[in-house]
Amino acid sequence: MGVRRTPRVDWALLNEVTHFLYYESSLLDRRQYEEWLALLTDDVMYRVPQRTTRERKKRNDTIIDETAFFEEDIYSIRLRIARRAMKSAWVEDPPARNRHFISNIMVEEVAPGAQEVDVRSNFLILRNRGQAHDDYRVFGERLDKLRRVDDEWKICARVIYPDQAVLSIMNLDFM
Amino acid sequence: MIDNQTLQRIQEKLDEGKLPQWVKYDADIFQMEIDKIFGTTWNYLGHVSELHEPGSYVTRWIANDPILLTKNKDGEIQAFLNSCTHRGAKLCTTDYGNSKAFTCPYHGWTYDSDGQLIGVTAGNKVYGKEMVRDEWALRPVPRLEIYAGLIFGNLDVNAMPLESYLGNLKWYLDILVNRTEGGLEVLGVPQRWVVQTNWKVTAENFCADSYHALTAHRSTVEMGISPDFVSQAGFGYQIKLHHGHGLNLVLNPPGMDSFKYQGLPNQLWPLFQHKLSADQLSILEHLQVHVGNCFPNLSWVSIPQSVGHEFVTTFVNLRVWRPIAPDKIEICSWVLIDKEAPEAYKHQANRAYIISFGPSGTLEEDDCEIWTRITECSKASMARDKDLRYDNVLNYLMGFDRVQPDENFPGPGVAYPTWLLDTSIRNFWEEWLRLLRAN
Repeated sequence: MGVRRTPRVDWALLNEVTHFLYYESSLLDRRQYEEWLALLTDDVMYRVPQRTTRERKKRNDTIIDETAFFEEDIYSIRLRIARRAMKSAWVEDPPARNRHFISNIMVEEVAPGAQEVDVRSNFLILRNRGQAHDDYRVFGERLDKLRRVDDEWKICARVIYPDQAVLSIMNLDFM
Repeated sequence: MIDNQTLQRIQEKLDEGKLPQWVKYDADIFQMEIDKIFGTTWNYLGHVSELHEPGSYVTRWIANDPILLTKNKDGEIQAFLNSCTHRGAKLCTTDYGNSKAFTCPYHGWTYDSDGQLIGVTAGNKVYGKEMVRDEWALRPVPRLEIYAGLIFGNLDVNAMPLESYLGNLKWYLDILVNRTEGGLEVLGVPQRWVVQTNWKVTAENFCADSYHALTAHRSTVEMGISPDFVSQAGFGYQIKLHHGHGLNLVLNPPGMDSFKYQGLPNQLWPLFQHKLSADQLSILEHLQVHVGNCFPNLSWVSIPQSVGHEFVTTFVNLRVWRPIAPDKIEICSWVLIDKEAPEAYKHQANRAYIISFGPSGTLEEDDCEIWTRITECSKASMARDKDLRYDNVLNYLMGFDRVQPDENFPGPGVAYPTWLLDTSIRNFWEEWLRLLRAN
């Protein structure tokens, strides 16, 4: 018997988590921020550290944790959402059209009955604005920690690793 | 090409407080800027705190020129064109690191952190007396000078010294970057992103256009997370300086004295008192926002921000608007704070920057949108007409021939008693035009 290389899958859990992530990103695409907020725990950690280009021997060291594009807790997330609702938040008027594509979802093996799961996924966000012919894109990998709260999943941590060292998108929404 | 008569017409409009719109998007102007401005002025490359130890390096840009900035084994900082002298390939392709040597992937020529050619593949077998290694060192940036931890390079070997170029700006920069013995340190790595606009649009914004905050940033003011620009109506000063530099000092109005030194930690205050003059210290004590531009494209801002908690935190942000095309820049933006600040404060300072500036910043996300729209419209035929038949000039008239300098202001340069003014922006454009017209 050889060593098993592909982790076993808990299909029921994977389906549940996949559906949760699809639902969650649809709220962002539809700008239903209040509903999206309800999917975050109060102790949520939401981070987008920076990607850098390093030598191959440092290839596992390309993420810079010291500085970031987002470094948020629930208070600053609420503040950002409240600001975007203001009449003079020009970036929102007229709003851009964002579309999240979430794929390659993998749930890390957890102990039976665990209340938290680690989830990896890839993301591609395409954005079009106004009459622009060109679309913006941002893409990379996400590491989520989901927690079961009152029989529902919530996000208690999300770390997003962008694949660009120089972003080609001029401003960022929640990813 | 742009002839003298066309440049003269720009001068005539500037003399009236107006600017032809076509200069914000023009391929010929762009190439002239690369040669005559970025080829002759002092360009910011980085901060000494980014080069930690001998062998440390970072890669940077001066407009089109890829620059390798190193610290050699003696701890001296050096800058080179990041291009192998053999066939011209880019030598170092990473953002930063530490390396004793840099090897070109094409034929294997190897250089040390002094730029010396220390290795030639099969050297003795393939080269004879025709090869004199000393002649094939990396090409140094002709001038490299440091002021208060800020590293600048200049492609013009005959340029005036950096300290002369900065001139009176040093007095104002010191309030941010030279106020403690330890100086500032860069947190992490710079944010980098691309915006479809012209470098002069962003430079003039930071130079002295705090007027835009009343409208563009109304949302953060109304939420109480940014200083209240709206009701303060210009309380503070605008400073006009030689060589096209300019800045605004937004000060606390009387009655707001409980908020001192931008909310910087108390333990830093005695350090400020030790390092700064009484006049500089007084400005820092009452300072809200320090924002400006060192010609051509190094801008800075320091502003207290809330991240959703009761308290506010401040930071120093330096950024370079690297020109890539008439309608494209790459922004390279560093967040810095005093080395002596408590670690917890540094973390909060970083968060205060992130929530306000950069591509995710509540202030800058709105700015970027607007800057791209300026460039979009500046491509219009009506805007591009160099004969100005559509009267396509833009308005830089605020305070023109009306607001006079404050003779009692203690700092150098020319100080005006309000930051609601276009004077320093016109000064930026005057210097821009002077350099384009220089032989």
